[in-house]
Amino acid sequence: MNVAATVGASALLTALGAALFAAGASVAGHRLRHRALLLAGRRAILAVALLTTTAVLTLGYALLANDFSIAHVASVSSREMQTAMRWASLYSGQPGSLLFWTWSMSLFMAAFVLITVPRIPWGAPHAVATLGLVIAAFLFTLVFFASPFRVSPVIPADGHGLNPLLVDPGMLVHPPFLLSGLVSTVIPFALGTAALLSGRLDGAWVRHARGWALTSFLVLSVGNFLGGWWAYTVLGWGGYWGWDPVENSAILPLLPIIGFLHALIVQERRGMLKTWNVVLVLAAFCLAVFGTFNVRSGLVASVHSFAQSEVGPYFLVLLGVTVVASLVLIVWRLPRLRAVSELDSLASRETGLILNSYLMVAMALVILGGTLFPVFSELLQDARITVGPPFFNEVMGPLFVVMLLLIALGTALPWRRATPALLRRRLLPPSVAAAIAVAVLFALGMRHFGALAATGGAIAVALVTSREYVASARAVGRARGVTALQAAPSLFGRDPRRYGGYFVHLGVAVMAIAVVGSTIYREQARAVLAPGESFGARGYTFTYERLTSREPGVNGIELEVYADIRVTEGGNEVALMQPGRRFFTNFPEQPTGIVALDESLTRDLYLFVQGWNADGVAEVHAFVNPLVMWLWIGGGVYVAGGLLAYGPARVRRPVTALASTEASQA
Amino acid sequence: MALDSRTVRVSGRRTRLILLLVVATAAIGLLAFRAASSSVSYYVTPEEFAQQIGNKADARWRVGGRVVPETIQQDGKSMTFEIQGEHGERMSIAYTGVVPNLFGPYAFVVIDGTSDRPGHLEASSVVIKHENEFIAGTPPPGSISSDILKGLTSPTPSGR
Repeated sequence: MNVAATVGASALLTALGAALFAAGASVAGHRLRHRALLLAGRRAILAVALLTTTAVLTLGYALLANDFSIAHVASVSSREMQTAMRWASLYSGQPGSLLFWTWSMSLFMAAFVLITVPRIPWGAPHAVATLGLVIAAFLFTLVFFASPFRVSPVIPADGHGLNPLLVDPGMLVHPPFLLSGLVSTVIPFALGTAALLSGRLDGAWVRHARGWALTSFLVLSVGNFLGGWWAYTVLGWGGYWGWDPVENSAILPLLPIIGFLHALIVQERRGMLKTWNVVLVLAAFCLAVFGTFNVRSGLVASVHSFAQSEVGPYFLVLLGVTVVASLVLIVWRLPRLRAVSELDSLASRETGLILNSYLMVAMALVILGGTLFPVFSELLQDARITVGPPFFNEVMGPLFVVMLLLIALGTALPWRRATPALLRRRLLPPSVAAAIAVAVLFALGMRHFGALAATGGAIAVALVTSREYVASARAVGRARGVTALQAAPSLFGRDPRRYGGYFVHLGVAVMAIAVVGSTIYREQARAVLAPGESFGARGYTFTYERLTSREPGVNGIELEVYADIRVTEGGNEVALMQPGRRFFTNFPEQPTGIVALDESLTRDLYLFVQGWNADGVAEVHAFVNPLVMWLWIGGGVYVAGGLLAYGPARVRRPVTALASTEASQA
Repeated sequence: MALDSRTVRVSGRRTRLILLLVVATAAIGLLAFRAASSSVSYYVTPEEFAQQIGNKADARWRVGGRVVPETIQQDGKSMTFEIQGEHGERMSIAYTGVVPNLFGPYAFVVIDGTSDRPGHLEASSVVIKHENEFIAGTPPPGSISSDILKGLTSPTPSGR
């Protein structure tokens, strides 16, 4: 008997029982008004978290102990793998990633049960029952379809090793963030469901959901940034985002979450958008499940591998049940989702926030449509038609520019109604400044319409946002008798949501400029070179010297081959760069690329070796990518803003009287 | 009081907002439709390519198949080879550039390109499809990268 496999498998089976018990006890306790049962239901969720943690620790132990009798361990690990890389083995492959996904979800649920559930007596049983059912569905997969603890009848002498693409430091952090971000959307989902089921549809659920939605937003965003960074430094096509079905799956749930974080402000302050907010959190979780299904089933990459994965059809059923249940719940409660107040004017903060969350949903639908295009086309026309990155760029490009303009506009608009004088004061200076900046760029030779529009939008966002900070700091400073500069830091303490949110907007503006620079003004060259030959791109000369190789002997790497390339600019040496390829003993069909990067604030030099022949003639790809560094800097600002936005909500009256609209302004 | 006129004003604003959203949706839909019709490519097997080429002569194609051994002919930077579908349908490919390292007999390749005659594709890119764990049967031994590793004669280990 294999002790580790038995412990792990029984932990998962017990967790499934506990999850079903949590759901059952919550329903029964609610029906019978039995407090002890309700409490038992909550504790069962904590038990699920403990049991899945046990399963993860057991699998971790099996990985460290090279227990190759467990099929999953043998398929993703091997004796000579470094200890750190075994962390990546934990969540690679179908069973491993599902176990990690379920574990992470159970931890979020446990935190939710400890932190939020005691404060929501109106919906606690409904929320706990929802959580129990959801995690039971995933545990069911783990127990019956994709168990990581399946024991193989023959014990191999050594494991197969980790998939080459995962043998990279980026893989130690990127998937955990992304998976955790996806599963974390279950908490706002549970709160929304609890509100619908219990009929308590005022602002209560929204108040509690906000912190959890912000967490999802941050973890998912970090996961996507890390994914982009990993793709950039490993995949070797010179970019960081390729609208691949898997990438799309990761960004899809993020969009409704962003929409919710904006629309909830309208519900809190004006009692409007009640239906919309419920739709957004339910949609976010449905999209997270869709993403998992899409990635796990290979639905889009190849329509025909659909039936080859055991969990694919099961996930499709799960997705269908989630979507249908969400729709039924919303339609059932529609009569109670009436707004308590009406729109006063189209020129108002409310409209700005409504348009923003509308835009997020529109973006999500475009991405979803583009991702599912091959599936639809095969169903309708019997031809697999794919739309590539050009489709997404053509549609999402203009939408991103609109988003920037909406951020600038929405930040400047006051609640309820804007007077023309106020609009002039707040919008005219930044518009004029942005227009001048765009004219200067045009005069300097920038001719791409999209690039000019996006840059103008980003500048407008930066100016409008800065104006808000300065005006608010001045007002606070005057009230306290200190300078605006001294008062500025206290803004984040006074109203963390608002000023943290503006910080996120600044990060978006910086990233927008980085995206324009690195996509529209990228220069790439490709050359087939014999040793000693050179080629050029944007003033840089790349001279190919020779091939070198080494044998690291760890993590299943058999051989690394490098092309030494000397980079000069105007006769001055810039760098010696060594792009290469990495070959794996157990995965001869899957060598990975080694990207060589020379980074700076203005441009990245990016080299990649496509291949070579026996004479040492190599094909080298070179990219000069302007401003990529600012993508990571902007991402840092964005994440910092998200962290600043936590803080407690500023206690404020709902806006009902016109007089209060300018209260926070000088 | 002027409750009636207020109600009328409110519903007017609401209508205008809804109208704005409807127009925006239509615009995005149109944008998406235009973008989709200009960037579609047909993802087919060689068998499907043979059936469909007739009515879509100037379309972009993405064809997946296995490289047929002993059809690879290299001439400087340009090359031609044949690929074969699961049911034996063959087609010829012309490509200029260096193919990926793993290119070779039996490699499963995905070709992007255009076609000017049946059974032939002018490739703009050649990508090796990584065969994942679900595909039954592996390429014949000695077919793909083992050749490349053997052919790797030039690099001399430097003092790294």
